[in-house]
Amino acid sequence: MALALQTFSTVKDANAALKAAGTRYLGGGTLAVRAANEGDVSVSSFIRSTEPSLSAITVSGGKVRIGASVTMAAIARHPDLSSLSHAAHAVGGPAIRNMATVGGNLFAPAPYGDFTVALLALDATLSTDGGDLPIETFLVKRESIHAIVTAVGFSLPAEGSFRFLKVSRIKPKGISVLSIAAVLEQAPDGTVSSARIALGCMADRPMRATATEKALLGRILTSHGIAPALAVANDGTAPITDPLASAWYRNEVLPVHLGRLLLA
Amino acid sequence: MAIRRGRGVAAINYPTGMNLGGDPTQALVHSTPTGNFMVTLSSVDLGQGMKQIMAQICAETIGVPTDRVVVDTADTDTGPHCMGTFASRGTHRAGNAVIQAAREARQVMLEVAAEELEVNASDLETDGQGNILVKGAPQKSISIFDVALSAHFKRGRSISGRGMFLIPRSYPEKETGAMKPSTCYAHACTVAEVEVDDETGEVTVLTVKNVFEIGRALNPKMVEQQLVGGSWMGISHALYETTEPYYPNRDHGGTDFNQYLMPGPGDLAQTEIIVLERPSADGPYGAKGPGEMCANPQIPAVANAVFDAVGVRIDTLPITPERILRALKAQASN
Amino acid sequence: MAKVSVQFTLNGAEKAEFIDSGTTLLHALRDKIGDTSPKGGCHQGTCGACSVIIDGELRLSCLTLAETCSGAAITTTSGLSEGGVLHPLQRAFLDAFATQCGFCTPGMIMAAKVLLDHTPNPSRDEVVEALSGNICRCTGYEPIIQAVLTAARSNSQNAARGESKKMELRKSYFADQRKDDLHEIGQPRPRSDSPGHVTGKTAYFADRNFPGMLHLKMVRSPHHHARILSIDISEAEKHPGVVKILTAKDVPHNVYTILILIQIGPEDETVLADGKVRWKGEAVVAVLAETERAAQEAAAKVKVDYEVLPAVFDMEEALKPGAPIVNEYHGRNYYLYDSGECRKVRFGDVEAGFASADHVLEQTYQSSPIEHAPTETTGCIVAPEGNDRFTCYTNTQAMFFTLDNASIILQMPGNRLHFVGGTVGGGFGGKVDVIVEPIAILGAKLTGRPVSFIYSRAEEMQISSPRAAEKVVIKDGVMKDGRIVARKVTGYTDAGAYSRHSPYGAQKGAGHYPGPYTIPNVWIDTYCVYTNRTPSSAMRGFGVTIGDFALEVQMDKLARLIGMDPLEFRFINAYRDGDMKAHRQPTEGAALIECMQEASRAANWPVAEKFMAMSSYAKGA
Ligand SMILES: Cc1cc2nc3c(=O)[nH]c(=O)nc-3n(C[C@H](O)[C@H](O)[C@H](O)COP(=O)(O)OP(=O)(O)OC[C@H]3O[C@@H](n4cnc5c(N)ncnc54)[C@H](O)[C@@H]3O)c2cc1C
Ligand code: FES
Ligand code: FES
Repeated sequence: MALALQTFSTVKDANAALKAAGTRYLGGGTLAVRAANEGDVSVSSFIRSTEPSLSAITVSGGKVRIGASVTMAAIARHPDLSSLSHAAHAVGGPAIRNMATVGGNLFAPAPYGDFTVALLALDATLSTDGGDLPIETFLVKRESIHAIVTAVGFSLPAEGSFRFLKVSRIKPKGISVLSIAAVLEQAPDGTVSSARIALGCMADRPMRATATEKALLGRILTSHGIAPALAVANDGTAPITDPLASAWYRNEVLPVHLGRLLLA
Repeated sequence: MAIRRGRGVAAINYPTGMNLGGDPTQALVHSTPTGNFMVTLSSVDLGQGMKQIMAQICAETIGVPTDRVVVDTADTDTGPHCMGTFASRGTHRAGNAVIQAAREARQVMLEVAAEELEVNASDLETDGQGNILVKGAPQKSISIFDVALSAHFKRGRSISGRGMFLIPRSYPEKETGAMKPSTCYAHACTVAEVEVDDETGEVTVLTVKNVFEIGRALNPKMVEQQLVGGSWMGISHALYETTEPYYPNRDHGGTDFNQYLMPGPGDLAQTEIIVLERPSADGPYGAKGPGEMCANPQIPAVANAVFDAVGVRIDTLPITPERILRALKAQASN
Repeated sequence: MAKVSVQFTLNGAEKAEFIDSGTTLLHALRDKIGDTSPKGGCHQGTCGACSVIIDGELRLSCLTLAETCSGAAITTTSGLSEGGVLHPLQRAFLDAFATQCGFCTPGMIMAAKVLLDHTPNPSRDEVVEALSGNICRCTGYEPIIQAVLTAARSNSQNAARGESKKMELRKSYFADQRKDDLHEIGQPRPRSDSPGHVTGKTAYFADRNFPGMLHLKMVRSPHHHARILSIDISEAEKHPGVVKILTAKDVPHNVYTILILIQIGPEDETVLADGKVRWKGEAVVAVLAETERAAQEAAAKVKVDYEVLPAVFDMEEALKPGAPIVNEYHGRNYYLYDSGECRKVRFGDVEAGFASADHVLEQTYQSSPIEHAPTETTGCIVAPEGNDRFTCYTNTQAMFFTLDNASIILQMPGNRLHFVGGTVGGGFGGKVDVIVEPIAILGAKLTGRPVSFIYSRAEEMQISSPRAAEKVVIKDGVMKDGRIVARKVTGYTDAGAYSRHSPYGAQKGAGHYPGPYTIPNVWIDTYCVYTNRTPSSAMRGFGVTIGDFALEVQMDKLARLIGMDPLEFRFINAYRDGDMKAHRQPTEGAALIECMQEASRAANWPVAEKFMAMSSYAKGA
C-alpha cells in the first residue's frame, strides 16, 4: 500500500477515518513522517484535520487552552504564555519548533516529550471528542488511545511559580538527557506550600516526582531546605538508557539538576 | 557544585599519503586554443577543495593566473588513474602529478613562444599574468593567448603534459618491521583549556590553541578551513562521538544526528590556529597533507586537560560526562 | 497510487503539479520540479539540509507532505540570487570561506535568511540559535556563524566563547628552507566551487534524476551472527512495484575484499550474505522497485530463516582459544600478516631498556567506534548507457579503486564501467569502501533500468564502516631526567566482521608508534581482530588518531610520574632530523619542536630557555 494523506475539515470526520486499519493521525509530522521515510510500512494513510480550533490558543481568566495542532514556536512567541516559552523553546531547533505540535509531543516517546513534562507539572487536562482526561491518566494508556487529542487545558501558573530545565549534551539544541518541570508555590515566609514536579527521561514517559514533591512541602528553598527532597529524587524512577546516557547516569545527575533548578 | 578548570597539551606527527606507498596518481594537462589550461584527473573533491588547489598548483607551474585553469576530475572515461582521495594523499600525490604534467606543458609552451620570438626557450620566463617574456628584456614578450593560438593553428604543437607520481611500495621486514611508511610528516601541538563540572561530569572546552606544521599552506584560507573544521572534529571525538556508546556492548547505537553527538554551534571552543611551514622535500611546493592530522592533537590535549581539572584519568574514548562522573565517584570512595 | 494536485509558488513562480499523495515536499521539489537545492541528508528531520522557507517560516521539507503546502509561498536557496547577483548571505558565505563540501550550505542559508528577515541585526547567540537545527560536518560552524554575522553587518557585541582568531602563518620558522617567491601558491584565492555551493547549483550524485529509475533497499540481518537456513522471496517478488530481487547467487563474484587490488587478501566478505551473517545489519537481499515505498514494503515481505549463533564483541574474548570464529575465510579471529599474528617492529632491546629505567609505566587505552557522519550519505545512481556500458554516478572517494573492485565483483570488464563523481558531500574516509556501487550496477544490468541506491541516515550511522574501536597498551621505561628509554606498544584494531581496510590500518599503526619521539628501545605489535560488529574501515587519521590519544595521554602521565612539566618532557624526547626511528628510517623534515615552541608562546605556557633554543635540525648541525 502506497502512502496517502487524507485531510478532513472536522475532527469528527478525521476520528471516523482513523478507525480504518493502517491509519495514523498526522500532527506536525516530525515523528510520523520520519517513521514513514524510514520504512515503517505499517502506516499507509495519514489522517489530519484542519478544524480551526485545533490551531487556536485561548487564554482567559487564568485558564489556558492550546489546540493540539499549535506548534512549539507558536507557544514560545505567545505573549500570554511567556512563562512557558522556555519549555516550548526546549523542543528541537527552529524548524522543528515551527512544525512540532503539542498533540504530537504528548505521544513522543522518551527522550522526546519535553513539553509534555511541562504539561504534566501544570496538571493539564486533555480534550478529545469523547471527553476530557487528566494528563496522568492519558500518559498511562497513551498507546491505546486512537482518538484525536484536540486540546490541552490548564491553569496559568502564578507569576514565577513555573520552572523548567532541560539538560542536553549539545548546545543550543540537543535532545534531553533529562528534563524537569516544576510548579512551586511558596507561602509568604518562603516555605513551599505546593509543589508539582514532573520529570522527563526518568522513565519511558514523563513521570511525577511525588516523593520529592512531598518532601518539599513546608521547606524553604535553600540547599539545606531542599536536601530531603533531593534525597528522594530518584524514588520510582526507571530512566531510559540511550546513546546520550545510561539509566545510571540519569539517576546520578537528577538530584544535581533538580537541586540547581530549585535553587535557581 | 564546582566548576574546575584544567589545561592539557599534546604534540603529534602525521604521515602524508598511503602508508608504505605504492599509491600512484596521474594527471594530464593541456591548453585550449586560447591559452587556458585543463587539468584532467580522477581524484575526488570531498569538500576539502582539491579542485581549487590543483588549479593553483597548475597555474603556478605553468605561470598563469589560477582563473585560467580548469580542473576536470573524477570521470574515469577521461581522467587518468588516481588511487583515491584518502590518507592525506590528495594534495601531495595529485599535486606532484599535476606539477609534472604542467612542467611538460610549460616546456612546449615556451618552445612555441621561443619560435615566435626567435629566441631560445631557455631564455624565456613567465610573468604570472599570462605573458612570456625574454629574461632581461621584458619589452620583448608574447601573450600565452597568442602562443596557444600559434601552437594550435600555425605550428601544429600540442601544449600538453603527462604527470605521474608514485612512491614505490615499501614492504615491512617481517621480524624487525623495518619499513618506509611515509616520505613526509606533518606536525602539530595543541593546548586545550577545559572546565569540568564535578557534579555532572560535563566538560566545556574553553579554548584550543593549535599549532600546525603543514609543509606549505598552498592556499591559506583553505588551510584555515581544514584546520578549524578539523580542530572542531578533534574535540568532538574527544568528548562526544561514538556509534557504540556502550562498546563492546552493541546496543544503543545512534541512528541520527540527535543521537550521534557532535558539538553544536553553541559548544564551540575559542579556537586559535597558527601555521608553520617547513617545506617537505617531495611535496608539491613543499606541501604536506594537513587534512587528517589536524583533528588528532585535540583529543589527548582535552583528555589531559580533564585530568588537570579534576584529577581523574579517562583512558577510554569518548570522554563522556558519565565516564568522568564514574571516575570521580570511584576517586571519592577511595 | 492516488495522485493529488498541489499548487504553490516556488521562489515567486507558480507551480502546479500532480504528485503521489504522501510525497514529501523534499521529493516533490527535487524529483518533480527539479529544484535540487534542498538536500536530503537524513529524511529524519535531524540534519537541516532540506530546510526551506514556507510562508516566512523555516521548515524541513523532508518531514512536510507536499500536499499540505497548497497555496503556500516557498523559498529555496536556488531562488535567492536574482539575475545572477548573489544575495548578501550567499556573498558572505563565499567571503568567509564558510563552505567546504557545501552539502549543508543551502539549508544553512535558509536558516540564516529566516533569522535575518525577522532579526536584521542578530547577536552571536541569536545566530547560533538560528543555525542550531542544521548540521555541518566540515567547517566547525565558526565560519558559518561569521558569515551570517557579516551578512547582517552586525558586530556581535558579546565576544563570547567561540569567537575565534584568524589563522596566523608564522613565517619566521624555517625561513631558510622556504622561498616565498610564488604567484599563485600561498594566495588565499576564492574556491571555484563555492559559488555553486551557496546557490544550491553544485550537482552531487543524487541530484541527477533519470526517468524509470528504480530504488534499491536492502534487507539486513537482524542478528549479530547467524546461519541462514532459508530465504523466501516469493511474497516479496509479487509485491506491486517490485522489479527485481537479488540474492547471493545473483552476484557473479560474491566473495571479495577491496584491498585485493594491492594484494592484501584473502577475499573474506560477501556482497550479499551467503549461508551466514556475521554482523547485525549485514546485507542479505536487495529489493529493486519502482518507488522507495514499494521497495520498503517488499523488503518487509522477504522471509529469512536464521539459526542464531554465538557472537563475540570483545577483542580480548575474540582472541581467546575457543571463541566463536567470526569469519571462516580467515579461520581465526585475527588477520594473519606475513610476520604472523601481528605486524611487528623490533628496535633495540626493550627489556633491557625497562630494566635500566627509573620508572616503568604500563597503561591501557581504549576507544569506541566513530562514524564519519558526512552530511551526504553514501550512495550511487547507475544508468545503463544502452551499449552495454553503465555509468555510475557515485560519491566514492576513490574512483578507480571502486571501478576496479566492481569489475572484479561483477566479472565485468572495466571498459563497461564509467564512473562519474568527484563532488562529494563530505567523506572523512567513510566513502572508500566499495559497498553500494557493485550491487547497484548489477541491478541496472539485470533490469536494464537506472538504479538508485542511497544509504538512509540510519544506515550511514550503523551500517557504513565506522572508525575502528582500538585498544592500545603502552609500557614505557623512563628516566628521572625525562628520557624515555624503552617503549612497548601493543595495539588492537577491532575490524568487525570483515577486513575492508583494517589490516592496512593496524599495520599503519605499527609504522606510527612510538610517536614523534626518539626512543632507543622499541617493541611494537599491532593486531587486526575480527568481531561480530559492523566492519570498520578508514577514517580521518586512520591507524593513528587513537594511537596518538594513547601516546599523548601516556606522555602526560609519564611527565607527572617523574614530576616534570609535560611540555618540557616532550622537548626532551622529541625527534629531530637524522634520528633513527624504530622502523629504521632516519627522521627527515621534523618540526615537532618548533610546533611546541610556538604552542608554548601562544598558550602562555613557559618552558625553560634551553627548550626554546632547540631546533629540529640535526643535533649539533
Ligand atoms: C531534529 C529533531 C529534534 C527534536 N527535538 C525534540 C526535543 O528537543 N524535545 C522533544 O520533546 N521532542 C523533540 N523532537 C520530537 C518531535 O519533534 C516533538 O516531540 C514533536 O512535538 C512531535 O510533534 P509532531 O506534531 O511533529 O508529531 P507527529 O509526528 O505528527 O505525531 C507523532 C505521534 O503523535 C500522534 N499524534 C499527533 N498529534 C496527535 C493528536 N492531536 N491526537 C492524537 N494523536 C496525535 C501521531 O499519530 C503520531 O503517532 C525532535 C524531533 C526531531 C526530528
Ligand atoms: S532534516 Fe530533512 S533531510 Fe535532514
Ligand atoms: S560544508 Fe557543511 S557539511 Fe560540508
